[in-house]
This record gives sequence, structure tokens and C-alpha cells, in this order.
Amino acid sequence: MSEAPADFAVVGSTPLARLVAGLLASVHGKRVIWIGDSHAAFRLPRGIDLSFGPMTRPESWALLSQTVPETVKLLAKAGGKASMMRLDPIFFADTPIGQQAMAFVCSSAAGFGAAIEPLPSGHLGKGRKGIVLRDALYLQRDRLEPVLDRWLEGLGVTRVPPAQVHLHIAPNGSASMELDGTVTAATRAVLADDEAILAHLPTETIARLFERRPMTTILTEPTFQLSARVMLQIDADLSFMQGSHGGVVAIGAGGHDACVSHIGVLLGANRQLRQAGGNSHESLRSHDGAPVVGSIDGTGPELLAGLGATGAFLAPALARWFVGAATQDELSYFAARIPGRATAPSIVADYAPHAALAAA
Amino acid sequence: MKGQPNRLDIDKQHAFHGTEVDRRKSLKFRLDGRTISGFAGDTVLSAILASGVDMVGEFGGQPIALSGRFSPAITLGQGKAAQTLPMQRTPALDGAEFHTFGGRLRRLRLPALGNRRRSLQQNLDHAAIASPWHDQPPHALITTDVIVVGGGVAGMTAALAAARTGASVMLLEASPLLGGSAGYFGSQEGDETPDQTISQLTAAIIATDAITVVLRSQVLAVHSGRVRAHRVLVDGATVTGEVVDLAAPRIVLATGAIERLPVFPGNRLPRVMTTLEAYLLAERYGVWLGRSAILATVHSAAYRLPMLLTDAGVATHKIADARTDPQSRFIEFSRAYGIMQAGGTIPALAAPAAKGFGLAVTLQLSFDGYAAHAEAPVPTDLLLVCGGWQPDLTLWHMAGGRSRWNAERHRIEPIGVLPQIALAGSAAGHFSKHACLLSGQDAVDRLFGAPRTPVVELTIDPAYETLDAPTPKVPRSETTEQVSYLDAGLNLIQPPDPRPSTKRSWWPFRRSEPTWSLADQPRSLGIVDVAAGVQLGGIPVESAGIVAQERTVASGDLIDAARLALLPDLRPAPPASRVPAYLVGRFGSEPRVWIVAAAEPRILPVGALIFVNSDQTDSRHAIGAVVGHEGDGAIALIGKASPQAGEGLTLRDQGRSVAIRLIEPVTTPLSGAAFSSVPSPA
Repeated sequence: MSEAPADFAVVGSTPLARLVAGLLASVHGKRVIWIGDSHAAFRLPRGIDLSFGPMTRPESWALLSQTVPETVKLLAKAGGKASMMRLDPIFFADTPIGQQAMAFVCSSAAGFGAAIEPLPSGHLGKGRKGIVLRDALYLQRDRLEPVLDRWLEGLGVTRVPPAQVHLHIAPNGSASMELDGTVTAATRAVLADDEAILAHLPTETIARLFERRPMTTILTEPTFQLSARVMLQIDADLSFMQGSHGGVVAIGAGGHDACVSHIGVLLGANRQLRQAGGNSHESLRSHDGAPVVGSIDGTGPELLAGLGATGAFLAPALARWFVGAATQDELSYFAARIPGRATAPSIVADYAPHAALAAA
Repeated sequence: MKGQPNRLDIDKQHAFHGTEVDRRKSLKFRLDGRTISGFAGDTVLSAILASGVDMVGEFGGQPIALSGRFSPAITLGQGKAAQTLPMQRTPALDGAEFHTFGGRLRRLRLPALGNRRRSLQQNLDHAAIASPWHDQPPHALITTDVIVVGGGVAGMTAALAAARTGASVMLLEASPLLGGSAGYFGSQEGDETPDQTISQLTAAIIATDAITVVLRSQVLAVHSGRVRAHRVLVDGATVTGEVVDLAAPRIVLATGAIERLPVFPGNRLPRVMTTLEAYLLAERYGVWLGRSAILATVHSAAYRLPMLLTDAGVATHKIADARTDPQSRFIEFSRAYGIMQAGGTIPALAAPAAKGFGLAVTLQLSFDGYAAHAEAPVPTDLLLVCGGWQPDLTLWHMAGGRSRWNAERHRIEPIGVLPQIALAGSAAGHFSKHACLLSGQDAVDRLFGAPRTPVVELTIDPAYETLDAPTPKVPRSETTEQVSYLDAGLNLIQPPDPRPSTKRSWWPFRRSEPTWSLADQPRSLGIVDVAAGVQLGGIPVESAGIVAQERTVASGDLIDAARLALLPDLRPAPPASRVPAYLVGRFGSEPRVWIVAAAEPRILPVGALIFVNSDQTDSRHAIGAVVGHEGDGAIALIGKASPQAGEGLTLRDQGRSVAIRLIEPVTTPLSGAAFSSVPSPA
């Protein structure tokens, strides 16, 4: 038994996947099936959602300056106002190359509404340079997820847990799903996060487009107050988020041992810092450090990868891009970042710390 | 037995004389200045319990029971953290002077009057029970071919199977002897007794040179082919503890199962004890608290304990079974002993008895969602509880193993495989001794790539042997002071308090009631905490495996881990002569490198953008940027067509316009430190 095909099957469990699915259904009137988990309140995060990121390309800041207000309105409308937190994250770097990149993050953001201030020398430690980004928006995934799930349900977006469905993606990018004996089809599949891409894209295609990286998330027991609720060490690809209990979630590139040792050195000088949780997972990074958006060579499933912390805030533009309603700026931006673009050299390359912590 | 009120008499024939103690050799030691009597073969914990101390201290004003899973660390003499020992793995030594670790600082100032003699007087509000060995660096690294964690029947079988392949094997067991908990579960008809099985396996292990048995060794973590263990070493009158790392290409985890604690108010009071711990204390050390008991169980094998107790002179008032009409050979046997049984009945409340050290236990009829009024409290010396069994997957999860909730069995079970690690026995989810023995062999088969051994459960039809019921859970009532806990382990996690807020609902500053989520707890969780959290709705069923995997971690000090591991070098040699990748195409297709200078003396910062004039602020319109310094000058990448030396441009530095000039194009190689990542002009 099969039903009429849906327009989109959006695969992914991140806020970005949920927002894209919801926007396709609500703003663009598409029939959407969303294949994703609802574990955010119970699992350690694999990523962070922030309205600013360590982006060195001005066009990225320009696009974000358009889509952040849209996303905020959308989230408020969906009932997610309480899940957004305004804060002043700190970005910092230890290495000369990282500090150079951070300088370009600052200058590229100029003119796009981001108030960035350098931190006084020595504020974060000897030899370390940092900047504070004022009034950033941070999405609390554990609070936002149930809100977006209810919103999607209200929009008639069917949610299918990945563990319960057999998903097949055809070379032309269409998808068919078998759930409890019922086969459902979708004209286009959107693989909206790394987990979805790793699960459904052929290994050789992944290797051609991405670098696979081990990642580690560590949760600590309550500890001293960090300089900011959210901190990003951009040259180690390491994010820290301190929760209301005082525990710190650290997400870093690298294997468990390397990540634990690095976090320990960063946070633990002369203090005891105990682990309360942890996981290891894999992430994808494009070969040029820039986002990967769209279908491979114009065919195959739509991919969303490498968008970093700001991905969720690009959802309105991405949804428009998928339905052919993108503005000229959006079209230029995304067209330059399609999968399979030239990456050596790449005219859209962004800073990517190549000194990520070694896998253990 | 003077000074040992909780030691069972041996004037009658029974199973609880204490296999490990030599009653002819009395000993005395001191703990925090208090004299403790015991026998040779006792652990510090068994001697303390035998001497009438059954309480660790108070938490939130409520007494907390002393047990093998919840006891403070001790030191021999006034030791430091590095010399701490676990009292359940430390032998009692005649004449020794032990101290609870940190005890002097955390002692209760005013313990409840009746509790002084029975309590270690720890103030648990001040600090959690510490296991300082989790933070200690390893003393040595030992390599072997196979490590087997757990000296129960599955682990013993695995060790022998691995040795038969020619491998060297280290068998690590936390307790002072091999055999695990097989004796508790008894035997099936026609099967040899657990004692016979253990004796045979022990003899075979002793006869096998390739197997090294390390008793009193608790494994703290498994990761990347390494096992970290804390072992207690006994050398005559000296006992020390040390952390060691063991490396092996193959690891078998035969970690057994943890007995669940029914969740009801008062479930961690002194004299509330899980049945396996009570059985092992009695069987190994002849220790029993009191002379009367009530058993509340969801599991049939627990019925064996009252029968064995009757022989030892301990009366069981009642067996309350959460199952409405349980069937089991053990139940039939216990009826023959004349013990009163009540189906569909769970413990609703335990409270300290008005007099003496006993309890007043309230039972309640409860089945199919129906809960009757509680019965009148019944006095008893001891409440034995069994809330079912949870495979101990703690190390499995640490090693990266996955798991999921089994709704039929009400427990978290392992799924998938790990390349170097295999589960065996109850930890793998097996039930019968027969299956546990086979699984020990099968685990080794898998690790060595040998043909697998089929693991067959010898189970009895549920019509004759009723499956375990879910762990009972009773909410805290409005009237009781007693609180409930999710598990009997180190975490003192309580379920949500359903009692309404005392503040009026219209009170403007009344805080909204928080939603209880176990995953919010800012500490590592025990696997039983997670299982209980699932049953209490604090963790969705589909998230149980993820929470268990992510949150049942080794709770060591991250800083020590950092000191142990080599900090990765985050300062790679800068690549020579190339534009940072993120500047490619940024300033046209053929940008050139120039030395630039400000019109007035100042340093031009790296990253500052250069514009044709001061009106432009949009970073997309920049024609260049400062990328480095050389001597007093700044090095810039300029994408302007036909740039001329002396030409004026504008640089923006933190929102301010700065007039600059192009000095000269760079034609000579620059020093790497200043300019290594920018190309020389073509």
C-alpha cells in the first residue's frame, strides 16, 4: 500500500532540520515528512545554535543579518520565545593562525549588526586572544525541541522516528519510506544534518565531499563560572556552554582522550573538574571549510552540512532556496556553495582549524 | 560473640555460618576511635555491620543505610586521599586504626540521639560519598592478552576459555573471592548446584598458570583497549590500595547484574537491604541484621532467602510479591515453610520503629494500576527488598557500547557489538547459570574469531515460573517525612516530589513547577538510576539507551585525565607561502602583496579591511586587508586594479577610518613568522 508522494522528506534531528521542514510546510505550502529524533532534552548536544559564528566571509554575515530576524519571528510565532536566550558569547584562539582568523571574523562582521569587542589582553590567559560578541541569540535545544515538535505537528508535518523507518533515497533525490508496511514517497529528500548524511549518502560520496571528523561531547559536574555562558575556541573547534546548574557542556573535534585532556587543561587549572557525561560522534566538514548546500551535481538528495553554529538561523533562506524562491543574494550565496564545487582553491573557503585535536 | 550483635549463631546447622570468616580467630580494630569486633576473614564493612553499625549518616535530615554500594572510603591511620581504601574490599586487620576519609570534617554535629552507636555520623548534605581512587593516576601499566572483568561463573568460564587458546589472562574480581552471585539464584532441577560449579571452576583456574586472578580489584573504566582498576593489596598486617592500567587486545565484561531498589518512601533507611547483599553478607560472613524480616520482591529466587533464614533462626513475617499470582518452585518451597505470602503487594513506606533499631513497614495491595489503602504498619528488624535486576552495563557504555530499553523485561539491555570487547553472563542479559556459563565461552569465541558457542537459556515456562514484575514505585505521600531514592548506589537521586507547593497559586512570585527530567541531573548517573528514571517517566523509553550510554561515565577528575594524556599540539607549523584559504577570491582573482603604512604612526592590526575611500563600510566592498607585519610595516593583500606606490586608501579599524598609503609591492621573501601565510607577488 502506498500514499501520494510528499514534496519533501526532511531527514535530521537538529533545530535546522525542524525549521526547514516547518518552513517548507507553512510558508511554502509543501507536503513534508520529517524523519528525526526527539531526544534533545535527554541527550548531550552534538552541536550548538548561535546567531553568530566564526565566519570570515562577509557574504555569510550579510546573509545571516537578513535571516536572523526572520528566524526570531518564526520561533516566537511557533511558541519558542522562551527557548531563545540573548547572551554575549566569547570567541577565543591560542594559535597565531587562529588569532589571525579571528581578526578576519571581526572585520568581516562589521556593518552587519554584530557588536564585537576585543577582550583585554590576558583576560582569558597568557597568549590567548578573545573577542566578545554582544547580544547573540542562543537556542536552548532542550527547550526548543518540544516546541518545534508541537509546531510541526500543528502544521501537519508527519514525524517519523528514524529507527522505525526504512528510508531509501534514489539517485534522482527522491525518497521512499516504509513504515509499518506502508510505503510513502517524497519527491525530494533533504539530508539536513551530519547524522542524516552519514546514514544515507554512499561512503564514497561522503569521502569526495567531506572530511569525516571524530567529535566528543563532555558534560562536567557544576564548576566555576565561565567568563561567558557560551565560549568558542575557534582554533580547536571547541565549544563550551554552561548550563544553569553550573555544569559545562564542551563539544570538541577529536577523540575522547584528546578532547578530555584539552578541556581539562582549558578549564581545570588548579580546580577539580569532574565528568558527568560524555559521548563520541562523527561530524562532517567540507574540504574548504565552507557550508555545503544543495544537491550533488544538480541531482541526488539536497544536503545541508558545514553550516556550523549558525545553521538554524539560515533556515528561512534555505527553505526558499529549496522551493526556488530565493532572493538574488541568497541564490548567489547558495549556488557558490553547492556540493561538488571546486575546492582547491575555493573562492568560498572559510576558516577551518586544521589543527583539530587528534583522534585518540 | 561479644560486640557483634549482628553475627548469626552457629549452634544450629544452616547455610549462613560464614564461609569466609574463621570464628576461632577474633580480632578488633578501631574506626574513628570506635572499637569494632570481627573475625579473621571479615572485611572492614562486614565487621562494622556485624558490630551493629548500619547507618552511614544523614542526608536531608534522614538516616541513610550503610551497605556495600554505599559506604565511605577509609584510610589506615591518618592517611591522605592517595591512601584511601574501600571498606567493602578491605580486610579487617587486628589492631588496625582506620578512619573514614574526610570523616572528621563532615561529621554530624548533633546526630539523632538513638543513632549515635549505629551510625558513622557522616553529614551527607555537606559532600557526597567520595571514591578518591577514581581520581588517582595509575601506578603501573600491565599488559596481557585477555582481560576478564568479573569473577562470577561467566567470567570464570571466559577466563578458562581464553586460557585454552594459549592466551595470558587477567581475571579481575571486586570482591575477595570468586563465584559472584550464582549461589543466590540456586539451581534448577537436575543441574549441579552453584557451589559445585564454582568449586570446579575455581579449581580449574588455580590449575591454569596462564590465568592471573586479581581479587579485591574494582574496574573503574574501560576505554580504548585499556582497563583501569583499583586494587587492594594485602601484605600481612599492611593493606594498601593502588590504581593500575591494564592493556589487552581482548576484553570480556562479565560484570553481572545490579539488584534494583523498589522506589518507595524510606527505601534507604538503615535495615532496608537488597536481597543479594543480605544473602552475600550472611553466606560469606555470617552477618545478619536482626532476628525478623519482611521480604518484598518481584523476583522468584528471592524466596530462597527466607527459607535459608528460617534454618538460621530468623523469622520472616511475610513475603510481599508485586506479582498478583506468582508461580515458582521457590514459592512452593517457601509455602512448605509456613511463611505468609501476599501477592500483588508492594512496600509503600518504611519508617524507623518507635523503639529499637527496627522498622515499621507499610505494605499495600497494588495491581493493574489499582492501589488499595495501605495496610497497618508491621514491625520488623529488617526489610528485604528485590526490585528485579538490571544488567550492569556501566563499563560497556564507557567502552562505547549501545543499549536500549526492553519493555517486557523492564530493563536496559545491550545491543550491537564492540570490536575488542564482549559481554558475558548476566551483563549480556542472560538469566540462567547454564546460559551464563555458555556465554563466557561464546564471548571468547567471538573475540578470537572462533566458531560461536550457541547460548541456550534453561528457562522454565512462565506458567510455572512467573517473570519478574516491574520495579515497584510508590510516590511520596503528603504525610510522611521519608523520602525515596532511585537506587541504592552512590547517587542519592530522588524522584520528583508530587506534593503540591505550599505557596498559594496566585502568589505572584511563585515559581513554575519544574519538569523533572533525570537527564538534567548535573552528575554522572548509575545505570539503575537511568532504569528507574525510565519507569518514573523521567526519561522517555526511546531515549533510555542514549542517556545510559552518555551519562554512565567514569567520574574521574578531568584534570588528572588531562595531566595523564599528552596535550595535543595546537600550534602546527604555519603553511609556507599561501593565502589563508578564507581569503582566496576575497579581493579579486589576482591580489598582490604590498607594504602599507598609516598616514600617522600607528600599528595596523591584522584583519583590518582596506577600502578605496572612507565612505565604504560594508566588508563585502573591501579591496584588501592587513594580513601580517614585517618590521615596522604592515603587509596587506590588495585586490585593486593597477595599484600605485604612494596611493592613498582607507583602512577600518574597529569602526574608525584610518588613512593609509601603499608603500611598495613585496618582491622579496618575507620572514615566515610575519608573513608565512600570504603569497609573494607573482
